[in-house]
Amino acid sequence: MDENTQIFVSESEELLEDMEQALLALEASPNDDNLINRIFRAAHTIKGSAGLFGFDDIIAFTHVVENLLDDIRNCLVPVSVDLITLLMKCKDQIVEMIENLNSEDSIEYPEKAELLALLNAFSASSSSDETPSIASVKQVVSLESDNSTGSIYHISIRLGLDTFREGFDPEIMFEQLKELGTITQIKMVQTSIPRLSEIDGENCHLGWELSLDSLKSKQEITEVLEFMDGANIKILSPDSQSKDFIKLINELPEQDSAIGKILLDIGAISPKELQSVLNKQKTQGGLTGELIIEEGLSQEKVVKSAIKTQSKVRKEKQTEREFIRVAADKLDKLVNLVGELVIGSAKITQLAKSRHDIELEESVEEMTQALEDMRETALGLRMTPVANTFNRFHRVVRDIAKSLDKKIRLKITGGDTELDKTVVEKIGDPLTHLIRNSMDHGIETPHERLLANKPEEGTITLSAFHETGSIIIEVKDDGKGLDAEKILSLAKERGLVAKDQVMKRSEIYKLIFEPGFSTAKEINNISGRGVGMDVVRRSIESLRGTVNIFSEPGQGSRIVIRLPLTLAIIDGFHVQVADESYIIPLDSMVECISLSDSQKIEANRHDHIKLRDSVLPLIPLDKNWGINKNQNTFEQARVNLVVVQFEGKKIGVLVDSLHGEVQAVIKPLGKVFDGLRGFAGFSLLGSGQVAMIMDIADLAKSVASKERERHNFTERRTRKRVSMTDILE
Amino acid sequence: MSDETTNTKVIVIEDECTIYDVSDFKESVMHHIDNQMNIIFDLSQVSKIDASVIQLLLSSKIELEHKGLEFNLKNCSAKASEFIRSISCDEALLLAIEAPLNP
Repeated sequence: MDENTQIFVSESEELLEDMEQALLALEASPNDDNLINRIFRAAHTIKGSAGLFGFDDIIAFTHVVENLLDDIRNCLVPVSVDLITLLMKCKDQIVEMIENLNSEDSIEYPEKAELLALLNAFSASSSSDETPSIASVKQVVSLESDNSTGSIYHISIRLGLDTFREGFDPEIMFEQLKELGTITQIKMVQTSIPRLSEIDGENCHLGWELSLDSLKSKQEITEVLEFMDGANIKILSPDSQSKDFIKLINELPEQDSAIGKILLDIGAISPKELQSVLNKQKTQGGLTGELIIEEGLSQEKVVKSAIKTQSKVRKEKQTEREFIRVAADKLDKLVNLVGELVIGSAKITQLAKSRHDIELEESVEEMTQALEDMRETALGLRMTPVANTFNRFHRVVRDIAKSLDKKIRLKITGGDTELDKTVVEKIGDPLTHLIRNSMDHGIETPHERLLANKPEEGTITLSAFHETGSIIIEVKDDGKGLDAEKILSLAKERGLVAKDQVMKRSEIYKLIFEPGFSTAKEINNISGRGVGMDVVRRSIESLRGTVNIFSEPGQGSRIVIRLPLTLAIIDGFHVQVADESYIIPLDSMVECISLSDSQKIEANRHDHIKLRDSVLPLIPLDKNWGINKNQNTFEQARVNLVVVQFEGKKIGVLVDSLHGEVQAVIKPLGKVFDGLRGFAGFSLLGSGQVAMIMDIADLAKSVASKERERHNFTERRTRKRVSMTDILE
Repeated sequence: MSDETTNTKVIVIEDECTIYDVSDFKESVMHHIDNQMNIIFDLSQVSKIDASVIQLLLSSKIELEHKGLEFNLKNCSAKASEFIRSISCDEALLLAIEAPLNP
């Protein structure tokens, strides 16, 4: 695909996305002219751009769509749900045609003929059911620009002062006007004729105001009257033509033009009229548009429409100036290079320290600070608002609600929250699964909702917000909530949990993320294949994120996804256990504690210590990953404790040394480490040493899992004792 | 021709009256206006007239009305009425062009 086609594809995709959003909004506000104009403009711009590149199929199809949209704009076709559905399908069709632009094969679009037939059926202006050819489109375009309807022009004529001296006879002017059409009204203007005592009889002061019924365009009339040198002639196009002028203004190529130029291009004023206004502007000042209205050269509404178009184009140009389109891989390369710089900088810092050269250390410190800013900026380039992904779901919700015969509204909050580009791209599919599940299993039918004293329309809220170095994405519904008993019984039936296992409600809910779990009675195309939620969990985990579910029977469910802000470089804390270096993500750290002897003993004997009146579970890294600690006992070792936090739960990580903050470039672990738990990747330190980056979420899970196992073991042992007692009794 | 008793002057425009005559024409009319005369313009003898003369007639009308005197046009020849109508000055001159007084 060449560069120009890429630009066309990229711009068209944005326009089509905007078109879809506007169509969805139009369903709620069918009389909103701005929305209708937005949709029209999208179709019109795509057609225009397709014309530049010669994409004939797209031109022909969008032309028919545009015709219908024009009818809607002109209130000839009412907005209805069916109409919006048709236009959405047309949008999908254009998307498909654009996607196949690069294909060398001839692509058949089986739905296109039906869509064209429907478009024509809806259209008020077209009776043809044939696909319009490019030639016919061009013919229509040509006819559109021909003002060939009989219209009443208002013409003001003021003859020049030297008209008589130059031997010009106004009779000729009237003969010319009569050739252009019929003068339906005329009034001589006497106000500028001086009294006899003051007049120079050779000076001309004659003028007329007249109405001319003519089939000619304003330009043609202007050209005929142009021979009258020195005369001031204003031709005001008929009121009926204002609509045509406004339409022409809307169809003008979106380039920044002066008001005068816009009105000249559409034929609302003549070059001579524009020149006279510009001359007046030079001497008197003022705005062109205002002067044109003041001089009565064009209708106020036409001028205002031109001003509106000009403002819009300027605003868009301004926006264009604020943004530059950059290929994503270039950004990725930049971030990688910044990563390499970070590693290099760490080496230099270490070297500077070893030289004991204060000046060198200070310079390195300055460079490191600048590099940190650069890193923040480079990572910021990859951040995009989640709204790009969220807005897609309006259509998903609308279509699925219709197919399920339910009334469901999607509410989006925090769409401007920014997230790493890769995460935004990858989160779309899991969110689709979650929303589909909520719609299918969560939200009740309108009848069921009314019986449950709920509004007929269900609501799914999709929200995003920041929380302690992470982004939280929530999918919340006000449906019937999860059925814990049913989930547990199904999990037992499928062998996902032991038959005698006792679980908390929150733990039961998490079972729905297990592979092969589904409570749907029937498999349908929306959800219920039992793979969705498992895929969701794995997709989120692959992004170093976590997913949790909360539910209240009868009230609804809330699925909380926690994602890291970025996948590339993090602020970390360098720790050491034996000879191994580790990095703990700084945003999950709470505090570092040097343990007292008694705490060391406690930590060695148990998996927890008492910290300020609360019990802190511990993760002894040397035991966890089988590290040779080269220390005989914990009592002899100098043990530091790093307290980390995940989802409000605090955990202690036992380490030997604390080295301080580092910028860690996250490098993915190879496939050979697939089974290794508790690491998010690795990073290279300034010394060249490899440091593993701890995955605090995973470590927290392992602690929770161990606690659960211990709890279950204790419970089973207690129950066993009880039953033995029963037998003995 | 003048009617001194009624303080009205009838000015008869004869043959061709065009831009070349407007200066003299103005002087003559002004003279009568200065003498507080109502004026009747008789166009029955006109064979050719142009827009500068029509403008001067209109200017005379304005001057007369300004001075509280009367302006009248009488006996338009066919040529005169045709021209006045062609440049749409009939209404301004309060002339019933449809039925020329002196065809």
